[in-house]
Amino acid sequence: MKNNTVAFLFALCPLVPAAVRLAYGIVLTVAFLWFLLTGLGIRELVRKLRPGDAGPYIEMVGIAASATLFTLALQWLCPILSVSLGLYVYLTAFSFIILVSIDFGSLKNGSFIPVLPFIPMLLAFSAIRELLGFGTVSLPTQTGIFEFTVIPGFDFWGLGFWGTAAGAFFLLGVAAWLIKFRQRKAFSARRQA
Amino acid sequence: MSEPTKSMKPAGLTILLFFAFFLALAGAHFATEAKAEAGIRAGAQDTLAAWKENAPKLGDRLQVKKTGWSYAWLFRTGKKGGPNEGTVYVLRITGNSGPYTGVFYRDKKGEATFCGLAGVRGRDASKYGISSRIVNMWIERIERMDAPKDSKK
Repeated sequence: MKNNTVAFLFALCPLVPAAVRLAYGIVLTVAFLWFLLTGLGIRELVRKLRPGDAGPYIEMVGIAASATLFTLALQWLCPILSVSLGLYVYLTAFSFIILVSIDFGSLKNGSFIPVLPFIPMLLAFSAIRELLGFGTVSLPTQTGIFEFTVIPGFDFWGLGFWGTAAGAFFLLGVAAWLIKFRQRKAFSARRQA
Repeated sequence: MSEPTKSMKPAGLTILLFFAFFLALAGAHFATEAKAEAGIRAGAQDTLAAWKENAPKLGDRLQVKKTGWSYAWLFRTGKKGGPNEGTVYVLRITGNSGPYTGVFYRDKKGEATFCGLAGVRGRDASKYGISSRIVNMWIERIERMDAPKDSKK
């Protein structure tokens, strides 16, 4: 698949319900990095085992095991968040598989082109949604989430719509348009040069 | 090395790898379970304390068969036949603005009540996108369930 913007947004879609708080975004980002690390390790193991056609299936089982391991670690570190985010750790693994499948070669040669830009995008997406939807910024803690009020009086005049899934898809649309606009501008500048 | 023995080697190593996954997961489960339960228990107890004075105290952890992952964290409250006998449900509830940890209490008559959200500031669940429609849906689900009987311990 060549259209990375579309693939990025597609990978973000399963995480839309959870990427509503920066605290959640941070947890899912750590999960994403964990999958990247364990994914590389498992791929190296599979390469050494040379199991033939069974290779991709072993990798999938490995990613599923790594997602379960992450869920258990989350239960240990942030027990309350593990109840709300348990399912989304597995959806993050699904998003990771989507991103890796965009450009198999980049992961193989270590450039990680589609995977690494996804991490700041996920963080920014959840931070913007929380700021616009709740007027706060939050961090994960052992007892849940800790919220800092950034926009005072948000309860009275704030627009909670941006914190909802519908608002998230509007934001995704704006993000897709901005990325496309920037790409077209860069393309026309290159043509004129 | 003969041809069949050669082809058996990757298969054996793959089985070994799967066994290593199993061991790692089982080890991690046993290592984390006690702390996870203590954390969830403390969060649920705080929510119950904010919900009402003389809130029921959490007892043994329970499990209800064939109800799936959503109902993994259930706790018995009060003594059998006592005024606070019931069950506390700690569940993931997804509202208009993301998933949160909801705490419900079901009394011995089988009537369920929403006690609040665990791990967040304040008691107003609607601020977090949890509308009364969503709360009622969960209350109906809990009330439809069989009363939990099997103790995990």
